[in-house]
Amino acid sequence: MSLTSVEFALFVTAVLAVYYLLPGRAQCGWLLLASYVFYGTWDWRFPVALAGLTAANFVIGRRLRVARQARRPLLWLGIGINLAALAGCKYGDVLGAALQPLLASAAHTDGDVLLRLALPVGLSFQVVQAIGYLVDSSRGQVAAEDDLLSFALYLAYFPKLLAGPIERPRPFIQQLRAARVVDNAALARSGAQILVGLVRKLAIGDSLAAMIPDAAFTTPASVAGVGGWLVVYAFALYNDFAGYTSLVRGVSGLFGIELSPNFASPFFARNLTEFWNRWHMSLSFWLRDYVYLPLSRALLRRNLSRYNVPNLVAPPLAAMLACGLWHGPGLNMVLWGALHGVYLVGERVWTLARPSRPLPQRPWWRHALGMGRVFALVVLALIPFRMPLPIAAEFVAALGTARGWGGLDPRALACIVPAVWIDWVQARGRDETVFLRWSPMARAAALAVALLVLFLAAQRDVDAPFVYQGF
Amino acid sequence: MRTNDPRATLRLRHPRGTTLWLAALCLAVPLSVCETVARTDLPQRWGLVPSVGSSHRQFEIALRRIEAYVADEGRLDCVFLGSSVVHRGIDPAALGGAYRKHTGRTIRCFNFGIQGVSVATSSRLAELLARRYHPRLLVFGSTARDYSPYAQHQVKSQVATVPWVRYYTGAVSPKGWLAAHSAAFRYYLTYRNWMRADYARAMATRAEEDRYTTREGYDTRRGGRLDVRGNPNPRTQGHYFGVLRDFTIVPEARDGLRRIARLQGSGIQVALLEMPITPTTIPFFPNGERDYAQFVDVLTTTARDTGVLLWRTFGVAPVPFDGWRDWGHLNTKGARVFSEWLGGQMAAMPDVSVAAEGPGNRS
Repeated sequence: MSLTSVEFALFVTAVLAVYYLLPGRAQCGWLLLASYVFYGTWDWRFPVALAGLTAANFVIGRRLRVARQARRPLLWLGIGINLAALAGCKYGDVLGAALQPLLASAAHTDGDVLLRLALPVGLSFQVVQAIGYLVDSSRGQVAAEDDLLSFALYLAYFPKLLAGPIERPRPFIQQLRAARVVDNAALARSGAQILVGLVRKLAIGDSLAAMIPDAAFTTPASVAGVGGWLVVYAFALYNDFAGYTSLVRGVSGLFGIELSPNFASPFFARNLTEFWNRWHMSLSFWLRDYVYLPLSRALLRRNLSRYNVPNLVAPPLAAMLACGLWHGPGLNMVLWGALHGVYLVGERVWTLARPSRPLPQRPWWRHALGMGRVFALVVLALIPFRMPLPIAAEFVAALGTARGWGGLDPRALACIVPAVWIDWVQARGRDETVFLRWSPMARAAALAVALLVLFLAAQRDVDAPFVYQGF
Repeated sequence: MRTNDPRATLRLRHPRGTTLWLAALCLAVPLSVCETVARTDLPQRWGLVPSVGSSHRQFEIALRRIEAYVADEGRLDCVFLGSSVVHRGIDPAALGGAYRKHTGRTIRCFNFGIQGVSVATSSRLAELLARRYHPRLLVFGSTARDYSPYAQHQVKSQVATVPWVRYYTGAVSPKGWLAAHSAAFRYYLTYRNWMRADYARAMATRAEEDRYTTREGYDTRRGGRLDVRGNPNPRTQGHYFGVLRDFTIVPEARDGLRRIARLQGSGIQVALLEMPITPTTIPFFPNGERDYAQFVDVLTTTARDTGVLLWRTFGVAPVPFDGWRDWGHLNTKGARVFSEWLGGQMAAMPDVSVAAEGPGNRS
């Protein structure tokens, strides 16, 4: 069931209708049931896999909270189980091809049935949330009482099941235990988030993605202006994922549960560190808290100097390599992560060597320069993100020719300009639903335009799933 | 729980809905202007063309042509329906000329052959044509290949499931209703895929097809020649052997044929037409003549059971050996000769060229 389908809208309406009638604790049970049903609409084996992951993590988490000894091996066992599931997911295709005949003969059945269990959509997101839960449990940061229902819902909650945001256990579970309220303001806010999400995804992201010729990322030498198509891809990817996040946050708001934001106008970032504080925030904050900071602390315990090379290099590089591997098993993803790691290291070294004024005190032209630099670096890093290494090499070679830098398709500008405008309005108002503060006439005009654009976008023969569902 | 219950999750006060009303107003004004303009001849003067929302280019062109044809002529005496064998095989102008030569009367015929449609999809289109244009004679042309499993699902989604088609065949939906009643929406539908990478190429191809389609729906570009005197070679003609490799009469196609035949009555006469094939095509079938006899049997049985006319052509229609574009389709020469022959056959029928009562027979 696609999140942009009429079926999903009807599903949410039906779930809400019952949800509002139930008392607090029963609401959680109902949401869990609905989440598993929703997951089952993708493939009936997915809920089975999720239930297994939930049970394993819950048992280990419980033992972690009560164990006085051997807490660390138990934590690593739990992390190992989750990483093994993730590796099974990410390397499923490769393993699948090799193991299919073996599994088929061993089980006397279709080996495909067994292998597909290793590839449920959204597993990457569930795994990192589970690891977060185990680490927080071992640190005593998750409430000590046993609550399987809350934990199961934390992993399975259907608005965030497919592609996040990656939630932290404590704030999420606290919301499940508290009374939830959906009043007029919350309803308006959710509606605005859903509308902005749909516009970003259907009208902007999908349109931009549909413009890019297939050959641009398969045989780049044969296409003129691949540089322009890379920029188009950057905006397509961003609006696809930002649209998804806005949509699911809006849907979740209807249940009185707030999900974490994932984006804050990332293309307005003035340095790479700021970019990662604005792009896929729930993942980058997770990496910061569970990879970067622990490694940093461990290194600082050995050498307290800020200028110590391992202290400077290892944490950002490790965090970004983990980020790359989380996205996919290919060397191209490793390279993408490494590139961002190197960017961050370079930025840290530069900052240490030439301390400059804090961001808010810099003149406008330095902001503009910084934004341009960050955008260029991020877009260049998208080359290995989008295509396997041999083709990425061809792409870079194509960029080196005059033919690789043709003008940007004017159709793309028709989508990019409104996308940047939405970002600008949201960044300026420091609120993604800033539109609600507009005058009634301006609000109505924006609503009318959004509805018309969505209606027109729905007529085309383009149907694209959310990009991050693939991760 | 009630909404004023302090324990309730949903706590709404009645909203005034100002934004929604204003938004509706914001939408209504420009959309009304667009619709008004779309109903004038301005869009056509600007070179815009309407669409019903199908991704089948030739189907869209055929629909536009038949609309214009009926508008110009005021009535439709005869419409030919079928797949590409009909589209490329019948030239209504040549047929009309032969008909006039035999009878001294004018017959207004339109070729609504659609590339790749199955018999089942054709039955939907037959229903649509009958309801919308009320032709006096509806001729469904087919070859054995149209009844094979291969031919069943080729363009179904591009034609039969289009909301506009479904609307006119009884399945009402908001989109179907809009496509049927809003001129502005139909103009937008032509350009709805403006963002696709292949958009420019698709529009150029559409324009070219448009240019070569006659006002009676016939595509004049089908030149080329295949010498069909020798038996086909499975190695060089692998595609055609592949298409008929699993030949069998699919029940879905048989039912579709019956649905078309049952349209006879209420002012419409239906005829089934066996489209010509060369004798050297028979080896394409896995069981040769036995398979072909199955197809002929379906035609004759349906015609007998429903009382519709059947035109057999195998070994009868005078298609010259250089009248073939490939093993399944006539070229322009073959189409002209065959159409003239068919015009002669139609001339022998009770008159189908008399206009229905009233100023026109379009609904």
